[in-house]
Amino acid sequence: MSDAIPRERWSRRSSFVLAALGSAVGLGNLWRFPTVAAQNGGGAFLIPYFIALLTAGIPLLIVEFGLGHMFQRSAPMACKKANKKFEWVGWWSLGCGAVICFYYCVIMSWAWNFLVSAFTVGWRPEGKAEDYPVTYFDETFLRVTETGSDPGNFIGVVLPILIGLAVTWLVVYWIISKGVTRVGKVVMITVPLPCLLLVVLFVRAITLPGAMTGMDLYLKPDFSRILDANVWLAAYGQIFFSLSIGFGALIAYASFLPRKSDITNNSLITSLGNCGTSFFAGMVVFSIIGFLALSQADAGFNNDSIVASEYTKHLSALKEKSAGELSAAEKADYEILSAIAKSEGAELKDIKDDQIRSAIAPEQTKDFVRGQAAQTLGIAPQEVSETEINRKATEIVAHQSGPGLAFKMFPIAISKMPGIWQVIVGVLFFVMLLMLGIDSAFSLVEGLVAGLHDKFGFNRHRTTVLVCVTGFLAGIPFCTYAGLLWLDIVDHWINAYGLVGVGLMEALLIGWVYKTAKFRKYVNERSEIRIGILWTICLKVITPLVLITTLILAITDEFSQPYGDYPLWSLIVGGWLVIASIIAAGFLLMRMRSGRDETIEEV
Amino acid sequence: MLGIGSAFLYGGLICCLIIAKKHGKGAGFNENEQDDSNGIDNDVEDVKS
Repeated sequence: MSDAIPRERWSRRSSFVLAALGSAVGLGNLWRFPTVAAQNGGGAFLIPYFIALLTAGIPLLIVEFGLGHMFQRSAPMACKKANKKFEWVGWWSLGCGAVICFYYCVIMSWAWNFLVSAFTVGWRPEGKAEDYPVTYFDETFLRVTETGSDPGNFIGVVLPILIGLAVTWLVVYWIISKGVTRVGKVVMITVPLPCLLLVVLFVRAITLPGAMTGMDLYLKPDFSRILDANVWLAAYGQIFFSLSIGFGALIAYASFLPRKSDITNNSLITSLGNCGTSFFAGMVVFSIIGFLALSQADAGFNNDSIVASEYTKHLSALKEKSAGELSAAEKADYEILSAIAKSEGAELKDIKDDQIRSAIAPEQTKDFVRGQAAQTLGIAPQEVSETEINRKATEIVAHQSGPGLAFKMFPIAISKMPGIWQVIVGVLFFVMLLMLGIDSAFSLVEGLVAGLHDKFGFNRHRTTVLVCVTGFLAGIPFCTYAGLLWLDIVDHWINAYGLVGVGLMEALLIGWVYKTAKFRKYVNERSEIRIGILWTICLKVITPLVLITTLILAITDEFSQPYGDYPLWSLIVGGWLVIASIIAAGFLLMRMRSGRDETIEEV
Repeated sequence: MLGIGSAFLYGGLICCLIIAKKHGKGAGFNENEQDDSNGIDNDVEDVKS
């Protein structure tokens, strides 16, 4: 007997493509890609990045779209239909997606709060130092500094973040409560609008002084890095995370496609659109970083600048070193540190970062930048030009990535703009951030709702309510004073092990366990562009090899240098335990009886 | 790299969009298709068995 409930369908191809694009294009396109590119050879990074896109990104995206399309089910049931023993992989992917969604919605809550602040430039009240947005974000807004970097020190819930979280989940609920019909309408706005805002911001950013230094750093190729294996791994990692592979969301979206619809060309449009957005966002980000670095150089690298903050960290790190361990360049800095300790009347080992930062002279900060530039160029410090100093300062600022870039660097840069531009750019930027994030967030929830609906036949509306309420409750720990610390730990483990593991299992499932030729034939029969033997080679060999290498390197790194400065118990709870719980839940759900009649009809 | 990047990403995207426009016009959409099958199976095996 077949299931009597007809499957929902996308009303138009453009609805599906935009929804998939909206899921893939998220906050990472804005704050991860540009920094990864700049740190891995600038323009030269694009070569391994494009190769990674062709050999891993697109083949895996075809697998995800193909799985959903072929079996007309979300991740767990699609994996089950490919091979009964692989259902847990589908649940694993949805588990990763769910955990990401718990904290992703908290980041969205930050964006709501910053959008409200943008109308009054609340992150830098008049008379405050130029780097006040850093203090505003850490101390005034998140209040993470009060925890003393101890993840166990929750203290309490930050109310504005909790309110923002509730708003985010209400919006997500409203969008997905009517299934893909409403999703298809919402993405008509939430996908093109941030792209349009990005263009507006690009026009403003490119006309700022210093923008070209930023663009130069972003796009000028350093071909010496192209033979570095780490650069290639970074490229594959970036492609993998950027395309939303492994969340189960794209499998669910593809399961709502009509039988005759295309697979390969939709994958190409989604992946090229996603990478095109990243590439363009990089130009905006680096133009603004260049502007910020130049304005700091113009102000003589005073103690409020980001560069001074980096110099403080550099000096602080010398406290732990003995005289014998110091390099020639470090000896001069060590003397500066000793002099500061002497003037503060403190032991060198006991001197605090705040004391160092307030005592360093702007000229010393500039010398630090000059020294760093000389080291990179392999010349004497006195030969370093002002242009090179500006470029190095831009590089130092560009090392900020992740939430710090959006919630600290951008507000600093915005607060340096003239008059009304501060409000205009601030509002546009955070509206764009919300639009970029919301479609990724609801795609993750939709994947989970569709998964539970497909397996157990639960009422869709009640499942949506249940998932949204659970998601809100699970997000509360991330709204506490220690929320940022937990967010950082969980995010690291989910990205490094959760998603990479899912991608690897999916590649093995279609490449080695399921009949690859049958899958390829199915895809080719419906697609406008045919896939050939190269796709098979990528899926069977290249993708698994790269993902296994990434996994081994990540695990080796984890044991040789534990992540961050967090206590071990927090890494076990927020990292290994979360991953283990997701996998265990996957096996548990796999063993539970399906609530739907899953008798199969041959198509 | 600006030229190479743009040509590859945006050129590729435009080509794919042209192909989609030429071939598809939304194949399978707007055909009032109500495919309520449970999807194809793994060699006609009942997954509940």
